[in-house]
Amino acid sequence: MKVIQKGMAGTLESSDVLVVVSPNDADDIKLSLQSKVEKQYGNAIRKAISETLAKCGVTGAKVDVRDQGALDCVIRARVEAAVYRAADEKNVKFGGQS
Amino acid sequence: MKLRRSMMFIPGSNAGMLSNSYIYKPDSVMFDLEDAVSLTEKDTARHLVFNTLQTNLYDGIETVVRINGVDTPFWEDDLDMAVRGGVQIVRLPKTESVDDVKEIEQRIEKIEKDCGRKAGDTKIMAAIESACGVVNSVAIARSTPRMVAIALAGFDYLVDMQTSRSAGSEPELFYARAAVLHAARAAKIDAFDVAYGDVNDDAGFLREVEIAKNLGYNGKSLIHPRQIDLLHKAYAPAQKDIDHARQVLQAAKEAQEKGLGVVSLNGKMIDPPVIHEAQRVILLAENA
Amino acid sequence: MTSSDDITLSVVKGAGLQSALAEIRPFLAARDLQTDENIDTFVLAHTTADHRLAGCAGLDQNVIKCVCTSEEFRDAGLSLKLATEVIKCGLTAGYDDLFLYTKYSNIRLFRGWGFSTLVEIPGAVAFLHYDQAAFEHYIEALRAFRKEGALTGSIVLNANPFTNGHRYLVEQASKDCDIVHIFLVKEDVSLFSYQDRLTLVRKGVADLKNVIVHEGSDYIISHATFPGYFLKDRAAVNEQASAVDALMFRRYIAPALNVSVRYVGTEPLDKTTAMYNVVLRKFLSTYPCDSKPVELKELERKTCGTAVISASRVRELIKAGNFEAIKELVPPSTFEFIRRTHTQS
Repeated sequence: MKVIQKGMAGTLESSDVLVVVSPNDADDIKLSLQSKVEKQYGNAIRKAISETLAKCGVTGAKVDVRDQGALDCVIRARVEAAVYRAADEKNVKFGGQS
Repeated sequence: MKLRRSMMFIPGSNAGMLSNSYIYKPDSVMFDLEDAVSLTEKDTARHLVFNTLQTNLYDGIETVVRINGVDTPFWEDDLDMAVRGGVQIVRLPKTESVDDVKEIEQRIEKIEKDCGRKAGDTKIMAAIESACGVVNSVAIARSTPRMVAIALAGFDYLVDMQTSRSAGSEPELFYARAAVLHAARAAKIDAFDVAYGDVNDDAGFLREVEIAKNLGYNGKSLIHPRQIDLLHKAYAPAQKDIDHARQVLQAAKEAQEKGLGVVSLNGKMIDPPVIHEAQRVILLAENA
Repeated sequence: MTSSDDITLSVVKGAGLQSALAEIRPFLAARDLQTDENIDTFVLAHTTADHRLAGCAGLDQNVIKCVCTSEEFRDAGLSLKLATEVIKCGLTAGYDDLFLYTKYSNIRLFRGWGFSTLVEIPGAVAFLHYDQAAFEHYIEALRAFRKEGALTGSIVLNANPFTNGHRYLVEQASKDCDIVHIFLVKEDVSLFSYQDRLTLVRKGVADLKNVIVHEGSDYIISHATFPGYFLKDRAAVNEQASAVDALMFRRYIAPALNVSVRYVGTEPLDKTTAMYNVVLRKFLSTYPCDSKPVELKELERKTCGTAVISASRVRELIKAGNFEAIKELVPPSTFEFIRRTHTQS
């Protein structure tokens, strides 16, 4: 998916995360992450974000993530939702069942 | 046999509640995409619920997704997410007729095929929320083998009936409760009673639980986690019933070991439904 | 205590604002807060059950103001609900970064919103913003123009439009220094548009090889860093309002570019600018701060006849249609532009 506008999803409430995905002139991911649990989970959060972006086929984007202690599944969900909004893509392809 | 006492509602857009509600151990959890989710967050709620379904957070708890009604532009996307996400039950709101069920059933069939899920794996629960739904509830309950339960939803029903909730014996819900329960029992499926809205009124909640339980409802829809424990305790069988159930099951076991076709206890013959009821009592006792 | 789950949020702007203010004003006044008249968008939180106002947060363009929650909701997550909504409103409106001014004692609250402190004046005010990454990116981009060991000067101009007075200031700085960085005020509230002002400055200094013209930003004389600069009622501007902008320059922009001198013209006409120069000197150099001081050089304003050359004089002459008089006040490139764009009428 191609990021063509600012897309936001999530909240700053506890156990949630606010994700803002915006267009990037360069074809790379500029990730900025703020997290309450950066020390313990910073790497896991970055992994969840980059895997989700890769799954959505996003290669160029600015991604701002404000984590309030969200679970892995919440981070993936918020990044996904923000990407779809940023790409203005209404037709969501949900992955195979678990 | 599956217990369906408590069906806990969780707004599909609330990350915190999706992340934490499993700790209250409801029998079923209902991720809501309908009333609890604002029009602007329908899309993000689907992503949240889908990703929650991919975790093992709710292992051992039956998962339900309430989709938006078939008269909205959302229900097809909701269904697509829920079936692909692997949810056990899809709850259809405001079910009025067999046609409503058929429409989502056909859609579920197609999605199951597309995503490689076993045909018939996705179950359906119909919520009855109108006079029309109540009078059609027998046909709705029998409309498909996927139907595992029907639930009475009081708020919209009472608006439709031109009345509102009263305290006490709740005559306004008398017919609907009896009708929906009969429809469920005739179709050999489960039935959920209405949700109780005032989360701070334990006495009122328990009064309603007694009504539902005595009528024969499997359980209730719940809107606050603190109601779960109250409900489970209220559904716990009395010690004398547990003792009796144990005796029945012991007798059944002995009869089977001896190769007897007929089970008897204290000289009285015991029918299969009695054995079934004894199993249910023990299950309730173990999970109280 | 009421739970923040029982709250309904709404966003009011445009026509709906007037009626909403009838409810907001007393709510804020009861908590010793003034309602800022420049707010264009309010996020409101009401109790779902009985529709009482429980909290609000306003946006004046990219500056968050009038954040307040009712006592019964403190610690109940209401503030974070408001934060999410007001941040979304600001970013959706197209702003790249969001700002807020707060009392020193409230910094913690807004750090919880994900804001970071840019500058603070202990005991008085703190200036915070939302997107630290965007800001670092901006400073990093400036750093590319840095020249080690060079005597570096800087000038911030609104140039509405670029006059011989501006030209004189730039020329002097260009002679004094090895390299001069000009920043143009980005805010588009002047007679000449930002793009036109930028073009005229670039043309007007094209021959000065050691002068670099930078685009303006939110971080230098902007609606956010120096709201008073754009007020009609300039007497209302106080010291604090311009201190933040001066400290932004000293703490971030000057170190990035190795700027040690900032040039301004003396101001005999305009009160805001005159006061601004005094405050600027204090906060650039004498005020205790962990960043190196920046020297302020005030140059006598260039005159034409008996009067100093000013952009406001040029604008008056445009209004009067006196193009001959303008010719003496502005460089040829500016004059050409004015003639071309203002003579049809």
